[in-house]
Amino acid sequence: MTKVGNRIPLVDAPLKVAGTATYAGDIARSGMLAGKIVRSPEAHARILSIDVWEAASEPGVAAILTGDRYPVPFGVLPITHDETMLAVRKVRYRGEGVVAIAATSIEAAERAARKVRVEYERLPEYDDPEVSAGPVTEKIHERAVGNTNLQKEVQQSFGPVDEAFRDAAHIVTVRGRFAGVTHAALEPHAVVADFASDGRLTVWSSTQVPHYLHLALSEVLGIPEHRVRVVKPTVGGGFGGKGDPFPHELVAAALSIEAQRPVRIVLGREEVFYLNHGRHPTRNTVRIAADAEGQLRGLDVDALIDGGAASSFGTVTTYYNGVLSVGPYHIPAFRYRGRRAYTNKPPSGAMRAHGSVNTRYSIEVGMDMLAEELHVDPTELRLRNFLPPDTTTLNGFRITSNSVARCLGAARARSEWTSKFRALPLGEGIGVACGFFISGSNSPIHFTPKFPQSTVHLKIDVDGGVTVHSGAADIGQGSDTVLAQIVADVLGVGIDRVRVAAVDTDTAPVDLGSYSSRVTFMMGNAARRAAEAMLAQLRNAAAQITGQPAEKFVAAEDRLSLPDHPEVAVAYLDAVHAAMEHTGALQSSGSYESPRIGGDFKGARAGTSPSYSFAAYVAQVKVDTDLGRIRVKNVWAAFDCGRPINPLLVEGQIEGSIHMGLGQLLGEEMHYRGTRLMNPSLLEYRTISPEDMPEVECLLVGDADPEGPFGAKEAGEGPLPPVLPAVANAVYDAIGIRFLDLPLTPDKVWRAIEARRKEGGLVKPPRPEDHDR
Amino acid sequence: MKLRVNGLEYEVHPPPERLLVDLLREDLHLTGTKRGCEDGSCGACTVLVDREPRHACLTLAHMVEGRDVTTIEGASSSFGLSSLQRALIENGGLQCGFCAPGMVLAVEACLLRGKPTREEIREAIAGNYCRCTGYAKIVDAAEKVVRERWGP
Amino acid sequence: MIADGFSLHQPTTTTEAIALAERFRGEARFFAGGTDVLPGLFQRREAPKHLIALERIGELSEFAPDRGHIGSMVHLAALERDAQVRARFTAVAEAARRAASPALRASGTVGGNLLLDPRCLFYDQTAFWRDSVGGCLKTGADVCRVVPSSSRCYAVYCGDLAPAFLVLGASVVVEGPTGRRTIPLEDLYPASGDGKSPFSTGRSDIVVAVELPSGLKVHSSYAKLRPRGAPDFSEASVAVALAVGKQGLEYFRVAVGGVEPRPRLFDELTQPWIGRTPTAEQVHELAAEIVRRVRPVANTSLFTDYRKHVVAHFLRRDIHALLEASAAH
Repeated sequence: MTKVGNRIPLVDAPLKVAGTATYAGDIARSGMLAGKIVRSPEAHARILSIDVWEAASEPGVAAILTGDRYPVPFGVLPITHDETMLAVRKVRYRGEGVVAIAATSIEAAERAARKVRVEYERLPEYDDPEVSAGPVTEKIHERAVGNTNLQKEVQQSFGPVDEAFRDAAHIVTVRGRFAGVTHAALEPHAVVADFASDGRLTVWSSTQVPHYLHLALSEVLGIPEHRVRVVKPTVGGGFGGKGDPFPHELVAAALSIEAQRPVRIVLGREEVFYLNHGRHPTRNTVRIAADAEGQLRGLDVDALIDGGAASSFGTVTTYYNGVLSVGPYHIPAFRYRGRRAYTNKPPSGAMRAHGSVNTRYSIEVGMDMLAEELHVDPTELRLRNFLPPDTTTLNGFRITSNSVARCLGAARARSEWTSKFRALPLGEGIGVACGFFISGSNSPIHFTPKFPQSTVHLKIDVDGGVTVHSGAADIGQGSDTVLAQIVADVLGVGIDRVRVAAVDTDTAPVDLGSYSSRVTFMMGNAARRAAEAMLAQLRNAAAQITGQPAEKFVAAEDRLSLPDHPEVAVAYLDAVHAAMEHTGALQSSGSYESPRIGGDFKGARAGTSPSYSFAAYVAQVKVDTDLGRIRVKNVWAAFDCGRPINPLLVEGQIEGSIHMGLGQLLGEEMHYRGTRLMNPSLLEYRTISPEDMPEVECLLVGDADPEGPFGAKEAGEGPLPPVLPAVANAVYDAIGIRFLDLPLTPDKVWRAIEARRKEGGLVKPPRPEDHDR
Repeated sequence: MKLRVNGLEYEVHPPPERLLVDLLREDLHLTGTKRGCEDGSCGACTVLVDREPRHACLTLAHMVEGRDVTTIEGASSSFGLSSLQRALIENGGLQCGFCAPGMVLAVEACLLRGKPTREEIREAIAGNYCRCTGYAKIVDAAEKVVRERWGP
Repeated sequence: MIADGFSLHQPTTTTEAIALAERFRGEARFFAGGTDVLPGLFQRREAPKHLIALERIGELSEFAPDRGHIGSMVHLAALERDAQVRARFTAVAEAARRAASPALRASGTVGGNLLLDPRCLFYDQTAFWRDSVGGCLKTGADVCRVVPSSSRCYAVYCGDLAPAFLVLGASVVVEGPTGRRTIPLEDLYPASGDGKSPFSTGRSDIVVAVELPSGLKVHSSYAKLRPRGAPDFSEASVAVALAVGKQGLEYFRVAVGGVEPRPRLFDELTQPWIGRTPTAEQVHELAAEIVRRVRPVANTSLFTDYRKHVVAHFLRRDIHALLEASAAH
């Protein structure tokens, strides 16, 4: 057990840091053409005509495509296929692809693109989900609900909600407004497609989910799945933004078929913003009912989310905005109404901590307000209400390992909470928030219920190297490293013996890829089982060589030996060679299928997971009351990911999540005027700069999860949601103002401070014990 | 025109509008230099031109005629990865790795000018976008190299 | 990627460069560090057929801060690092340090920064984006997208160096087809200009150098508002320079950038204070008066009332700090 639990650097870092890792945009094929997509300048319009005559005669143009060539709709969820590779008959958002061109150079493709003439007839544009929710004159998609532009509506109710609110001693109401944000991974999406003369299509793409892309390519292009191959090279960040099959991936493949040449498409940064599929612009109302002792009695959530022009993961998002509020507190009664509206904006979709961030914000701010009403410390209020381990929520989530109370204790202690809360000078403050998140969706989107969610294959040949085939996608989070750690650990070999093969659908067993924080838990369990199956073969070989019972051998440090008699040992390579004697190269397979969880009502499986991560964060801020600038100084991030397989990578996920969460809180915004995106660039879409990052202390608190691989749970998404409300609550502690309209840019904060000054002064809120009782 | 890239002399004939980033990636097949934006805000294409950091996407190829260009492919030596590269690996100073080439060269440029403070390291990478790490582990790695090179 | 080809000229003297500009009049543009021009070409804000690179004109890189001479091709990084500039022309070093990010400062030049193309949310966009709006005054359409009733372009001048140089009384040496002239820097930004044509120089004029008065002994500062840190452009910036003697202020100038199509000196409000020392209240009132005279419009990302507030705040804060520093000196 030397690898799991250690701070092992990324196995692919030596290539990445030397610039030799290959990303999709780095791939060149013989005879490769450059692809370019002509995009709609209109947000909602009927296409009257498309004239590509002049463009086609530009020098170097090899192929031109329009939407009618492959009009088959696709989408990441099988139930909501409403995207096409290029617009068919009408365009639904500004930036949607209309025509695609392949040419000998990107410059030639660009020049041809300018000669494409498209005639549009404008239709009413919908930019407000509230309007889309009502009767409309023009439906964005025919599949929208009734005569509205609603894509999805969810109503759920559990327990005695009306009674809870009727009998409550305290009710707090929070109305949150959240701008849309987007993944903004540094690598712009890129794809190379090669439809070769053998009738096989190979696509290299910066994707999080190679097997979904594989399926979409087959369905849309009409090529049998066995003749489609998707390869995932090194991916430059995803965060959910590379999780759907995307139009440009299908376009590249279609252009390659048309031109009979390989085609590469690398999106420009502006195009990445139009691709979006980021976090939904959201309006929510959260009501929390509590009794006089501060026990939560009921929770009522209403969310209206702006889906943009396509469904993407949106049906799941609609559920998640509600169901992911049933923890980490015990909620005896829960009601949810969620609506997702189509608008004529770039589609929203899944982004890190999918569907949970905005509701979590309103709940955690609400908990802070409730604590104030009750005159109790907000950490105390939370401690009174935490779910215990090994319980079931009222909507059927199975909670197993849960160290949220210990997380809160750790964050409180490290931050010196008690001496700071309501005690720092005006302008300085401290705040707390908690959260939880799924460790993989229990219900796979595709392939269900036919296959396990993850399968891992191992192969060992004469060189003793262990080749790992997996369809889980390393997108920078380090899943290949976790895979290598687990395999090396079980086999007792050095990690450099393990070679994780690039995901290639020709060789990698089918897998759901990287989303919903599933990889460590599901792939990890599959990897462990595959390695154990391999170990059994080596043990048998060791038994044959030594005459000792196979099951007694332990593998460590490149040997199999008997713990009680270390002198009885077989070198790893000898065991491999002995095992190979009659079979040749060794193979093994392991898979993971999650247990059946959840009720049997509609939507019961949304949010069910084999395990959940938990978090408690404390943040300390300094607000410049002259300039309205919120400076986050410290975040103490206590996180329960079970037993971490690699604390170095877990810290990286926490720090990166905090960067992304603070971005949404303080500056990031898909800034629309009407349907028009005003800031499609990394200059104007403002993530947190290095100078503005707080000091982050990661506190990994947690017990081994009973079902996680080596006791591990997810750490990729759960670390994000708590940081926003923790900082917002710290700002309240600093200046006594609640902010419910994100992002909190300095101008907005300054206006609120000025307004408060005019109303009678900026003061710190009272301490719980100073209230008149 | 001639230029030196990573110590080797090249003779190339780019058209006037050729950008240094495209010269490197497409003509010289040095794809380590990345491209993440079109306005100089991401720094993924940072290279050194005569030891100064430059955005290869905001530099015309002709502007480096006769100059000495160092790309990420030249950041390591015949002894292997540089101490900064090793520190980034060991400290978790990269995840997806797309920023790493530019980040390495931006920090190297800073180290070339003498011992930086933690604040100066943060300033040196202020134009290098990273969406994965939250920057802390990058700054830690750079500080580790500073300690190795100049003492605490 | 730049889809439109152009010819690149690399003259070695200003005379040669100007002759080229005249020869290709209307189709040529000068090219210094490239950090402003190249994004413009990517976005097709312009498509010159001839680029005239100034890099090989040795004279333009002359850098002699001891005699106050700064060639227009000197990089911002050099200003930021030079000990003399930092000591004597603090505002300039501070302005350089707060411009963009290190790699851009290594490419970006003094001349390029002084002539930074005014910026606007509706202008600094790709051709695709601008065309989908239908263009604006600055790109030849007949309407301003920010102030529809206006016939003047409101794009904002965001250069960092200009306010700093202005308060230090800098002049610029300009050479054009008719010869060389030295003009006060403020004349580079005429009141008649707007966001579309903000500069007094012609398309064939080269800014050769900035000259700072020798003997100048003042304290100076530069403060910049940007939504976050690097690499954001200025949304309001304030430069102050002053010197206090026995009889009160002997030198006092302030300039404001980042809020209007041109950077502005407010000598008419500061000169009356020569020979006196303002009280805190009077500084407050002076700042308020300056803010009453600037008119930002909603074409950047932060609220205009906030930007005005920040101008006032910077003025009060920095004037106080410099008064104290100068008095202590």
